[in-house]
Amino acid sequence: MRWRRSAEEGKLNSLRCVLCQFFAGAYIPASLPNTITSPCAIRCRLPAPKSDQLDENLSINPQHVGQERLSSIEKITTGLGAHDYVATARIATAVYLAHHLEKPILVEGPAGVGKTELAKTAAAYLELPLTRLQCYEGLDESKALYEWKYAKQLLYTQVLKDHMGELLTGAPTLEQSLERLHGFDDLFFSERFLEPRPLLRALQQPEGGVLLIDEVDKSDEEFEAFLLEILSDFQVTIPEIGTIEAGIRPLVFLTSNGTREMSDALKRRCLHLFIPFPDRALEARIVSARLPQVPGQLNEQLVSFVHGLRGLDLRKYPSIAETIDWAKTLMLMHAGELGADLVRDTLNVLLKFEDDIGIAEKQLAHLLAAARQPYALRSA
Amino acid sequence: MNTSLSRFLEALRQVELRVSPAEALDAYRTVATIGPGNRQLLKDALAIALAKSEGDKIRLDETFDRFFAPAIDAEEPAPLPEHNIYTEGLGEAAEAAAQLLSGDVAGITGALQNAANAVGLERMWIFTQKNQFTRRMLEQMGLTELERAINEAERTGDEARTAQLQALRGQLFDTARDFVEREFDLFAKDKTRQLTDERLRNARLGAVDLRDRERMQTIVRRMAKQLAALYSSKRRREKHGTLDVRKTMRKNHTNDDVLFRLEWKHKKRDRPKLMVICDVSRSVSALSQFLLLFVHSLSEVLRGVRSFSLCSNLVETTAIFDNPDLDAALRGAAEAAMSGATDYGQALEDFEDIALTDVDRRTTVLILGDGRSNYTNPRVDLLRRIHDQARFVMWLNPEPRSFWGTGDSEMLRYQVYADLIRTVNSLADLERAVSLMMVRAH
Repeated sequence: MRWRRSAEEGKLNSLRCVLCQFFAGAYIPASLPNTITSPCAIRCRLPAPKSDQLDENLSINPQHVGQERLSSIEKITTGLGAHDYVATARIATAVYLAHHLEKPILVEGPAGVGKTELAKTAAAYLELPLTRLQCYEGLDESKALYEWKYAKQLLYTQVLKDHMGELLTGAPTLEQSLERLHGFDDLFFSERFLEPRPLLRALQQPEGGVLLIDEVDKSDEEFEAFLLEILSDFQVTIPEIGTIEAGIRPLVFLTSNGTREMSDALKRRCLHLFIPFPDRALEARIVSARLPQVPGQLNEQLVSFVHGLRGLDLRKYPSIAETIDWAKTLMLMHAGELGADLVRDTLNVLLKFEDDIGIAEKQLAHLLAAARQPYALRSA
Repeated sequence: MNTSLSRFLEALRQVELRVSPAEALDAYRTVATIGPGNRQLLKDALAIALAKSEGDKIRLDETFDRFFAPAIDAEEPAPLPEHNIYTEGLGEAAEAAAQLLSGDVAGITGALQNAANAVGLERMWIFTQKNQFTRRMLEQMGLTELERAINEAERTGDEARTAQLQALRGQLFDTARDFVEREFDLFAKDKTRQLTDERLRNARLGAVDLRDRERMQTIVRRMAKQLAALYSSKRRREKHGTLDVRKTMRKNHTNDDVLFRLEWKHKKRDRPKLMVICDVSRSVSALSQFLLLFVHSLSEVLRGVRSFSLCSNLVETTAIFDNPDLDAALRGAAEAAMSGATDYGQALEDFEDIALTDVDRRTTVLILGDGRSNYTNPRVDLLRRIHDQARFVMWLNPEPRSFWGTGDSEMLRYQVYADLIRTVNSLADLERAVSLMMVRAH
């Protein structure tokens, strides 16, 4: 007996491995017994359950493709690549581990290196819904997790008031009336009046999903502490209803720009992925993946130029996102190669501070000369 | 794999990478998921599961390379051709010899590891023990038999065999010593470092060697980080029971002004403003440097640290600390005010000109000095004005209380206007004093 029908109320009828509690995204018709003998593929590291090994009536949910698409690191790399995201070995390994260990990934790195993009691309690749929670100072549970629909509760109270008389007819004494009313006490605090916010919504996705908690470093310490329950157990506790657990655990990405150090408790619960600025070859690959129409020579020159800029003492270094924006700009202006005037005119796409632009303009001739040199000569 | 993984985790802890038991379990699950087959993949995966910052990742990579380095270089051809050696009659040493000669990396590493386990290599903690442990490991691997074979060969006059066996012994010895050396670097070096750290924390700062300075800066930064973590979270406090009427009304307007949800007033704690006045004359300069380093590392939880150097006069040195080269900054701070004998009266007058107007009810003034003013006018009245304006004045003095008032010390007159006086002589004292300051300044 390895697989058992998921017992949770209100969840999809799916299989759960008895040994490792892993969910398989399969529907069981009500006619089948509650336990099925078949090996578990994911956590117990036993051979994959083929559909014919399971009962014939049992069909693997065709929509739930995540299991298969996350089954090897190579698949992840090529899959993300197909969605124009160039994933390094570390990035692909992180996604693979996040799925198999069922742990969130904390993605850190400078602004604009593709932290948020990674989550979006992963969602697109897995064909799962992306739930995004943007963090900011003052974000609290009612905006992140759930809220009671006060207005609806109020409206219902008003409506019920008119029927109160009818309800209480035939209950002459106060005790009897109260007794009757007790039957309704949980009415207003049921799921019907619950407004799910991003975190709860992500847990309730029937097919699993991708949850992106963006810029978690911008939130308060209190909120960070509150995240811990969700990140470690994938469940939330609502006092009036009880604990709601994720049917299929979502793939969770947290991103941080490092404006403040995250607490050790949070880091302990997460895998940690650091995405640095890419090297020249990788960045050229990223540009050509995103904008295949950029000619190879221009691509190499513009990436070299951006790398030159990152060598200067600037307030904010141009990121990959800005490199791509710049490449788009150059394409719009039909540039065949980098010219001094062209670069000077479009420098504000790359650099966002007046001081930085000033510094870069002084070094412009030098940087351009370096960028125009063929790569082979430069390394020699 | 399990034991070597747990030893690897131990090695990581030695390079100050904190691996909690929960993370250790993650590491095991990681290895179970991806398997130990691919070295680069294993390294990447462990870096993702265990190292939680950029610096940690670099340290993990280094430790990984050192830890999983093969005991002998497989690329190097074996210097002794196998067919020349007579491994018979070597007893236990025969196996090791054969592995060494055939360049069997995994075999010899395993054999060394077994010997290390047998002699309890993990007990090694100081570098003088290296030779002793090497010898014991070699004995475990059959050195006695090998030496007996050498004696035997010498006695029979078989020179060729003697030379070969001696070369073999030398090579075996080198391999074992390299192994012990590596183990020492991985596991034992930091046992001594922890000891040194403890000593440095409690050492009199005037007496610390120059070569320990760098290490002490690391210690100070770590202490500052701990303090910062302690005080960063307590900034916003709810005032229980005080209703914020305006906010409540606004929030509940959508519900037809029925008060479903109440909003309470919050009290926002400001980060304390800090002014540090440091005596940089010879007698207290060592202490001043570390205090300055300390408070500037605390900038995360303090709002606007301003520092002043005091000697014959007083200069503001806040700007100097924007310099990323910390040593230069500290030296600059010390040199800025150095032009004659210490004069607290003059220095306080300078402070009045530069910064007294900025001292307000949120400002904490921290003075570090021995209060020895070379018999000049101490201007106690100025300290009194600082005391009246500031939230809190704290004085740190390296001299014990019994010295105050002797010779040119004006401490007895100054102490009236300091809210708190502490004697500080070591980093441990300094940490206690700064943490006390943080409590009182809030």
